[in-house]
Amino acid sequence: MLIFVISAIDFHMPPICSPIVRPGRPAEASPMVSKQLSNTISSSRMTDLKELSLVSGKAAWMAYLDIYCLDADGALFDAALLSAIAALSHLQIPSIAMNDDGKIVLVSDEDGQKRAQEPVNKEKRKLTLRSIPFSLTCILHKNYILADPTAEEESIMETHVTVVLDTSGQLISLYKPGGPVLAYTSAIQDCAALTRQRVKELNNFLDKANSAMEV
Amino acid sequence: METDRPDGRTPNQLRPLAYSCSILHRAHGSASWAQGETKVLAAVYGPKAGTKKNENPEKASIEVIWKPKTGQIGKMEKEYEMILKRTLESICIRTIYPNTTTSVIVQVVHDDGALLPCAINAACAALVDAGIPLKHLAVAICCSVTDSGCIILDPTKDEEERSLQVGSEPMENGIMTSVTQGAMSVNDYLHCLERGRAACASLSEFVRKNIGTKSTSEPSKAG
Repeated sequence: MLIFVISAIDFHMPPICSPIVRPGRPAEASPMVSKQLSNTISSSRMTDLKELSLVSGKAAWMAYLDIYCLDADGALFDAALLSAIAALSHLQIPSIAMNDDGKIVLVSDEDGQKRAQEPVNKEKRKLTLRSIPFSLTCILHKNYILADPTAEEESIMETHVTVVLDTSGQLISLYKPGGPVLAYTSAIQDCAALTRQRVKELNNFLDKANSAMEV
Repeated sequence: METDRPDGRTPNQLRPLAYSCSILHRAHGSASWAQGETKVLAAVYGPKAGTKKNENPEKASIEVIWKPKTGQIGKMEKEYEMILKRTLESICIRTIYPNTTTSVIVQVVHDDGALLPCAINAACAALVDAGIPLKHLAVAICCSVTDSGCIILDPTKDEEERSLQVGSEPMENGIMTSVTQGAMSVNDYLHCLERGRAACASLSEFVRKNIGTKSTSEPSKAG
């Protein structure tokens, strides 16, 4: 039985985050970051989609991921991906059961009468994240590589390279949408090395933050 | 470790290429590019007077409109538009026509895999047909990594699982645009780059031969 689970991922840029964003029509960068996020999360296979299945062919969890940018100061995709991963690692799936009508109802611990129903999820649980992707955006300018640019640096220089690696060292994405500077193999290897270093730092940071929150 | 492909191609073999230009009469430049069953039609209008939104006093603006074969324009089409816009901006000499806007309309005729490289090739050929001044020509190729780790070029729709699309510059073989999908090791990515460069070299020979023939026989419409 094939299980279809759709996760909706949206990246919003309200006018509060930047002077160039106007109310009404969406900002130019917003669909770009949304598509990149969807591609990265589906490519990395960070979560097992079968975990979100409740009854095969009948019911499944659907996750909505909405990211709002409050202050846009460059490298938006890096911040968006990191916040998405932190949110998914903090996600708790409630316990539910299926009653005789075939409907899904929430199981509360206080109600003893509902114990007769067949539980689908027996308790609250968290998503299991396998290998976690992290990204680093760099600017290429002549022979220089600038990591983690600000909005001002991004507006002046036009060649951006975003490298996404996961914790097992696999390349999830290498995104370079044009730009006047040509990227050669040595530049790409340098960007990958910088990203590997950042993956370690961010992974440690995320572990510390999650363990501090659980206490 | 050889991989048998469904259509009988070797891993390094491209699908048959078909190219024609000046097929639309109203457009200043137009080109049709087909790789196998994937076919893209591109039209170029301009340089023309810029709108208030797009106008830039120092450089020409480039506007890309992507029309899919079916359905409405979604996030994927918006992303393709942006990638194509930035790729074309990096190859055009934009300082020659300040305060102008050049429109590039890309119509997808059929999609059987490797759609974005096909669109890049069609758009570059249309720009040449329109007589837009370019620094250099860009050619694009798509590579795919199979489950067994074999790298194949120019995948069809069925073969597209973990794909990498590289647009490179023929003279210096630098990378202009890179988009990946799926997970692969960094070494596999670098191998894809090598294979992509070799394929881009043969592609640029094909483009140079056809455009060279065309430019001597017909003057440009924009000129």
